[in-house]
Amino acid sequence: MTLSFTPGPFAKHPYGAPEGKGESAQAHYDLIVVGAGLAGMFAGALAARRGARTLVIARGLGGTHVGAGTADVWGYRPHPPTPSPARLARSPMERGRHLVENPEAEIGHLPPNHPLALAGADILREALAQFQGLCERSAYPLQGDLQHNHFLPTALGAVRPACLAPESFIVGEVRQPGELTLARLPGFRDFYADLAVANLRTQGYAARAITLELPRTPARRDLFATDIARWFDTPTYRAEVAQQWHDKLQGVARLGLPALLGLDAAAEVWRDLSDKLGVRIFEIPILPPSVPGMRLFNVLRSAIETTGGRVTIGPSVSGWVKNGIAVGVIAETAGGARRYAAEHILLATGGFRHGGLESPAKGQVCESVFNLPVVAGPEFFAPLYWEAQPYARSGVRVNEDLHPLDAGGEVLYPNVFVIGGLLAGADRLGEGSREGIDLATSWKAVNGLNGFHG
Amino acid sequence: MGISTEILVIGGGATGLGVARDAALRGFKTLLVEKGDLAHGTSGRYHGLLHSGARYVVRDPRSARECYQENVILRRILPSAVEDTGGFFAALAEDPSEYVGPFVAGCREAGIPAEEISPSLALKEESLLNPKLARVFRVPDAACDSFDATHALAESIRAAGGEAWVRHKLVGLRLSNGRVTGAELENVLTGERLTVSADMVINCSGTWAGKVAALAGCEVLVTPGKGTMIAMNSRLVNTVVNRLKPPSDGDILVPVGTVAVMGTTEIVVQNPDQYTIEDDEIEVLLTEGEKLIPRFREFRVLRAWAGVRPLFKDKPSSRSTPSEASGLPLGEGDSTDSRLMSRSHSILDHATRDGVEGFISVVGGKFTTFRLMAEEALDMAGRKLSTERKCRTAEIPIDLPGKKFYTPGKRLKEIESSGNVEVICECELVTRAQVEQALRRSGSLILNDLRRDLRLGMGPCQAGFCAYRAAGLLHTLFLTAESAKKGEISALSANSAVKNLDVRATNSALLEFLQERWKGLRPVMWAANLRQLELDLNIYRDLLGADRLPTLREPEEYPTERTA
Repeated sequence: MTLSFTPGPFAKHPYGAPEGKGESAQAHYDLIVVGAGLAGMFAGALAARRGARTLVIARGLGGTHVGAGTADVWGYRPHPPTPSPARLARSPMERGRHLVENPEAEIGHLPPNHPLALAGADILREALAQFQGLCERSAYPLQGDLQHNHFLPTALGAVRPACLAPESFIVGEVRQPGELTLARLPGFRDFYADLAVANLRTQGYAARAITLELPRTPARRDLFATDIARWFDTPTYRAEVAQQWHDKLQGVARLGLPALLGLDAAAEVWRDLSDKLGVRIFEIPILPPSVPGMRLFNVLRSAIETTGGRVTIGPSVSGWVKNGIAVGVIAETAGGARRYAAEHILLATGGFRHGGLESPAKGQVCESVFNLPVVAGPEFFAPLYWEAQPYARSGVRVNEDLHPLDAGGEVLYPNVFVIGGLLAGADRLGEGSREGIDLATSWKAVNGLNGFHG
Repeated sequence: MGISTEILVIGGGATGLGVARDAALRGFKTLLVEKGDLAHGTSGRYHGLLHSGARYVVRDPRSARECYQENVILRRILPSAVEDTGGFFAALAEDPSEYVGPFVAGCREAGIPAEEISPSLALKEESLLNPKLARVFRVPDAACDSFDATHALAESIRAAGGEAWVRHKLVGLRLSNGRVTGAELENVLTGERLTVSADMVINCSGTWAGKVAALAGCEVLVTPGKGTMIAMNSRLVNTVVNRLKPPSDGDILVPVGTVAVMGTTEIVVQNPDQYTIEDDEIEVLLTEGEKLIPRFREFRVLRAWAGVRPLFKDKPSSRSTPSEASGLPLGEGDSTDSRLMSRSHSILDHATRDGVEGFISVVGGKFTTFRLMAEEALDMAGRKLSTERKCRTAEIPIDLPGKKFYTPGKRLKEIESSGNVEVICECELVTRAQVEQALRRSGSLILNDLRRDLRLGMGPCQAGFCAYRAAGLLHTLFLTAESAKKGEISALSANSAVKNLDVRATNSALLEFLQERWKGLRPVMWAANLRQLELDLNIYRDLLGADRLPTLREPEEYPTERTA
């Protein structure tokens, strides 16, 4: 696909936010990370651990809260971008994407502008190890390695590849022996065990459904996964559940539940409940908000805050530029604009979903913090919903150090790094590469900060 | 399998339903067949305006008079679907002042009450309107939800002893000795064929009327006039607002339920089953919207769609270059621009016209005048069958007793006063019980039908959350073959495409539902919609892997949904 530059919509300031004169900063940081998704939070945790005075600032919560709670590096071998309807066969493997077993084997031959190619396999491997270490220290271990994807069941009964996954997920690996028994939870509208079971069986996996009642279901309101997760955090609730469910689980090899087994004490909830029920339990991610994603966010937030960093969520953030130099950010708070100065700025604001990219009109794209130039293809949307969507590759073009580039290929701000979903050149959804890109580019950017090599 | 009826109606839009209701109320044994769902064609794709007739007074006085007459009647007999919003005809400074004289005179001649009000009063009532209004007239326009109206009509047909079958496609007309004696039908879900013998077949297939007439060897030329609309994600006005100028693109804004619909464009298309919504149509609607309501573009557009008007003129229309809208009365033979073609209807007796007995076509016309078209068609049918019976449709309410005007607040009230209801679609407040009931009733295993029945997936999240839940409920219903035996889902077992419980049918229903939503979203995909798209794609392609599931068919192969 040919990528071309789209001019920004703010004609007076083609590249860069409006310059302010004479304003002074309210605080000084070594590093400001804009964006609180996985990329931003991981970068914040790494930098704070190395002793950098770190602020993570974001308009809202990021991708963790709508994700699966796994770290995906490369999941699919996509078909050519636009298969003709005649080519679409009825078999899912023909129509959809091939599942990848070994992510490392796939990322060796990416185009040089792909974010994972910019980071490189070594950086990626180190990043995954760092992330696993961080989660391990927070008693929420993630299992897996770069050579093997877990094949995990979805709430529709499709198979979803994931590189790193929490212990509570991998019992559901579909290629492992043992029938998958999925729980119907009456009164809970976000999980349909029968549908998932039927689809798993169609694909040749042994599966069945069983009805399990949740104790204390409130009579007059909708049930949310986050509510139930908090109930499971308490030992008394788990004891009640175990008492009600235990006898129904005779002969169950593996029990699948929607991902709601605890928020603050998830690893303990999973172990305790498995012990009490005498069954191997696995969780299946469901509709947002994502309980397992929130666990990852909480792990990262506490890692940042316990090492002296700060996380501020709420204000909208724009870049602060003085004499052509990026000096910090301006946060629009309820009490007015606040200016924060920083030596380094990491942009981890994500793509369209999280506001790093905005599309003011059809086919137009702009970057929301520094109004950086954005590359986008000539075509934006595919005719069919589930096809690869060309717009997904839009983003900010960077050099090998992740600094944003202008149309001529010159570095715009040498102290600004772009990481995660804001980077051009990847179809994160189609590739199943989201967390791989987030983690690898975070690690690379933090390693590039002068004076903080830990 | 063969059955017989007196009147067979082809087409389940407003016209066909109106005709079937009229026939049933006159005591004829009546069957209506529709290849898709009720209001699947143009009736379900219009802007929601119940015309006062004022739009037509200058160029098409017959349509104007008919609209006003029917407007008054429908308010009385269909209160569950008609909201008395009232309407403005508002002229901006740029609009031609010479149109006002003929407009006022036309309204007077057609008997349509049009009262001039001061621009300041209009602004007081509709504060988002452009403050530079030149002149404003108040007319008795109203809003009419066509999904609600067609459902009410179908219930009323059944109450009068008639039948209305959806997903039954006409594959042939039976002819003997120059007379149509019945029809050959196919259940599109099961492939099952059946024969219906009928004393009279009435073709109400709108834009598709030519195809149906051709089955009897008759030539009927219907010009498909595509009109594109956009729904804004908020009710920007509470009054229908028309531009006071000759009819043109983007001249109307209609408040319907929780949205406001900006319409329409007008483009003649070759094929009513295949058309696309062009970027420049959306641009015209936004530009005209901006004139009526400053900063219109900053509001979120919810979706775009197009309907295909059945424009009829009983001779081949010679279309050359579209002429400028002149504001002149519609004369014979000046059908160069489809916008200048009459919105009036014709009832064709194919016996006198083509020498084919037992066959009537109802062509042209508009939603507002469906009842009148039905009355005229049944008057003709009665004469032809030598059993003239009095039309009663203007007196008997369409709404069954107890049916009330629907407001979104009604659902909220029901939810709050009942127990744990499990809201399946948060945007439109659709509960689990409603989804299950609608699935049982429709028996079609098509999630798209829930959109028309319940407005499921019509809100701002564009089915992101409810599609999975509805698919889960659909599959659970399907799976319980035992409940089918008990008669609980008899419709499913009788009508189902899938004799054995095949999950691929559920997967197809889900993907088709999502693809149908995507068609409406793709033309308006920027700002918040693009953000929403990424969230929804993340749910269906990543979290759920819906694109990798086996299906019965690809959505574009789906038999009755058109590909835009």
